Amino acid sequence: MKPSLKQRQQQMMQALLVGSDEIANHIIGDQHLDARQRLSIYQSGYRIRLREVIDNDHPVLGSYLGDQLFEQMTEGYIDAHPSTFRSLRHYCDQLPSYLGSDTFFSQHPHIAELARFERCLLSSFDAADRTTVSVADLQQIPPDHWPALQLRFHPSLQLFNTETNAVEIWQAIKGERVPPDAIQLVESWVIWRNRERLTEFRSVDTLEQTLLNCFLQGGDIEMAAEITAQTNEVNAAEILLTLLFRWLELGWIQQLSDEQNPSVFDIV
Amino acid sequence: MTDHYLGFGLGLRTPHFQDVLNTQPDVDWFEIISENFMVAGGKPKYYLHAIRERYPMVMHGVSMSIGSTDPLDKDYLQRLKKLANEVQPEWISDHLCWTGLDGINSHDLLPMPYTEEAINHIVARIKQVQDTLGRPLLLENVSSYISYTDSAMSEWAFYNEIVERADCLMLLDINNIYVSSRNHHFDAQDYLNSVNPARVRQFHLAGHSDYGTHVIDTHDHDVCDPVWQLYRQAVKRFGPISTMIERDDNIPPLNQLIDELTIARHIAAEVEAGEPLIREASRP
Repeated sequence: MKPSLKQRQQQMMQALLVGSDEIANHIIGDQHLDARQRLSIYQSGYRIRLREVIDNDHPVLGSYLGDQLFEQMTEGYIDAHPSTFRSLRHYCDQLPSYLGSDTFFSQHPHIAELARFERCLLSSFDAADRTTVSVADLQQIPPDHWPALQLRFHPSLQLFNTETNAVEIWQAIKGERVPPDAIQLVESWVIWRNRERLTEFRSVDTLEQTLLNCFLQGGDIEMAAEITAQTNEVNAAEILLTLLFRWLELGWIQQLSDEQNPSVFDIV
Repeated sequence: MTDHYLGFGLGLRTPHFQDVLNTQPDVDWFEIISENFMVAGGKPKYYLHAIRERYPMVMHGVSMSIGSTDPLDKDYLQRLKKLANEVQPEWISDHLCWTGLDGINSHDLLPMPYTEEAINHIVARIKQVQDTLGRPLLLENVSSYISYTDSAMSEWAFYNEIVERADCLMLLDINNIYVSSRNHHFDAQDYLNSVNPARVRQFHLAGHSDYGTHVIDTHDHDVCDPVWQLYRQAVKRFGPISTMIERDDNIPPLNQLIDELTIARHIAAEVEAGEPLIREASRP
C-alpha cells in the first residue's frame, strides 16, 4: 500500500519536533548531501527560527539571563511548546507560564515576571487603535452626570501587578546599568500606548490601582469617590479628579458613559 | 504589458517604514507579509495604511499551509480576507508547500512530495481558498533541500499541473528556482521553459547563502549574478512581469535595496529593447 501524504507529513513533523529520522528513509540523498544531512537543514532551521523569535520578543530577558541560561530557556521552551500559531507574533505567549512552572526557572520568580512584562509591552504595542477622550470632553458633560460616569480604557492599557522588582531590573538592563538584586516587592504598573504610538509604563500606588480596578470592573465615579474617601476623607474629590484628569491627559480613556445612556457620552 | 503589471517593487519591512513615508522613494509597489499585519492596531497598522495610501500593495502569506493534510484554517482565511478588505491589495499570494500538521506550525515552507495524491489534495484546497477570498490566489514555488522518494514527477510538472487544474496563478521565485536547481541538480532553464507564461503574475528575487554542497534560501544577501542571469532568462520568456526583491535578514538601508532594484529595471529594459519575447499563450 502506498504511503499517504499524511503519513509523510507526520514523519516530517516528528523529525522537526523530536528528532525522529524515519522520514530520512524516504528522502533522496546524493554524493554531496545524504538524506540525513538534508533533513538536518530543516531540523536546525526549525529551532533557529523559534530561538530568534524568543530573542527578538524578549531582548531584555535575553540580556539578563546571559547566553547559557538563555539557551537553557529557549531549548526547554521550544521542546515544551511547539507553535500552534499562524503568526510567530504569539509564539512566546506561554513563555511566562513556562518560566513560572519550570523546575529551575520557577526558583527565580522575577524571571517569569520579566518575561510577562515584555509580553505586556508587546500587547500594548499592537493593541487596537481607539480615539481617546480628553479633559475637554469630560468638561462638556454636565457635572450632575459625572457620578454615574463609567470609564472605558484604551485597548492598549494594561495593569501589571507583580510581587517582584522585575520592572526595575528591566529598566536597568534596558538602560545598560547593573540590574538590582531580585527581591520581593509588591508593585503595580500601568502599561499603555501613547498618542504618538509609543509604549509607556509608569508605577501606580495602591489607591490608583484600586480605582483602576474599580473602573475596569464597571464601577462609576461615585463608587470611585467612595473608595477614595475611605483613605482620604478630606480631599477625596480633589484626589479623584486629579487622577481622572491625569488619565485623560495620558490618553488612557477611550469612552465615558453612564449605565442609563451608554452611548450619550460615547466619544468613539 | 498587462493590466496587472505593477513594475518594480520591494518587500515592505519594519526598518524601512519611516524612510518610505519620509522619502516616498521611487519604488512602484510594495509587498507585505500578511501575517505581520494581522494585529489589531498600533504602529504596524499605522504605517501599513499610511504607505498603502501612497503605493500599490500586494499581500504575501507564509502560513496558509495549502499542502497540509490538516483541514484548512478557516479562521486564518477570514483574518486574511479581513486584512485584504483593509489593504485592497492588487493580489494575494502564498506558497506551494505545507507548514504544519495537527495544529502545530513549523513556521517553515516544507516541500511536498510531487504525487498525484498531493495534486488532488492541493487543487481542492486552492479552490476553497479562492472561493473564500473571492479572488485568484498566486502560489509561489519554494526553495527545497529535500526531495521525497515518493515523487513521481518534476517540481515544475507538479506546479504547472496544480495551477492549471486549480485555475490559479503563479508567483515565480527566481531565486528559489536557482536554489532548488543547485540542491537537486536540475537545469533551472528547464524549469522556466516548462512554465506556462499565461499563469505568471509576479516574480520574486532574493539572495541566498551558498555552502558549496548546497544553497539555503536565507534572504540575507544581495541577489547574486547567477540569479540575475536567470532573471534575464525569465524576462525573455515571460515578458514584463511585476518584480520585487525580498530581504528579510541583514536588512540594508532602503536606498541600497532601491539601487538593487535598479539592476532588475535595467535587465528588464535591456531584454525589452533587444530581444524578442518568447510567448506561448495569452494571459488570463
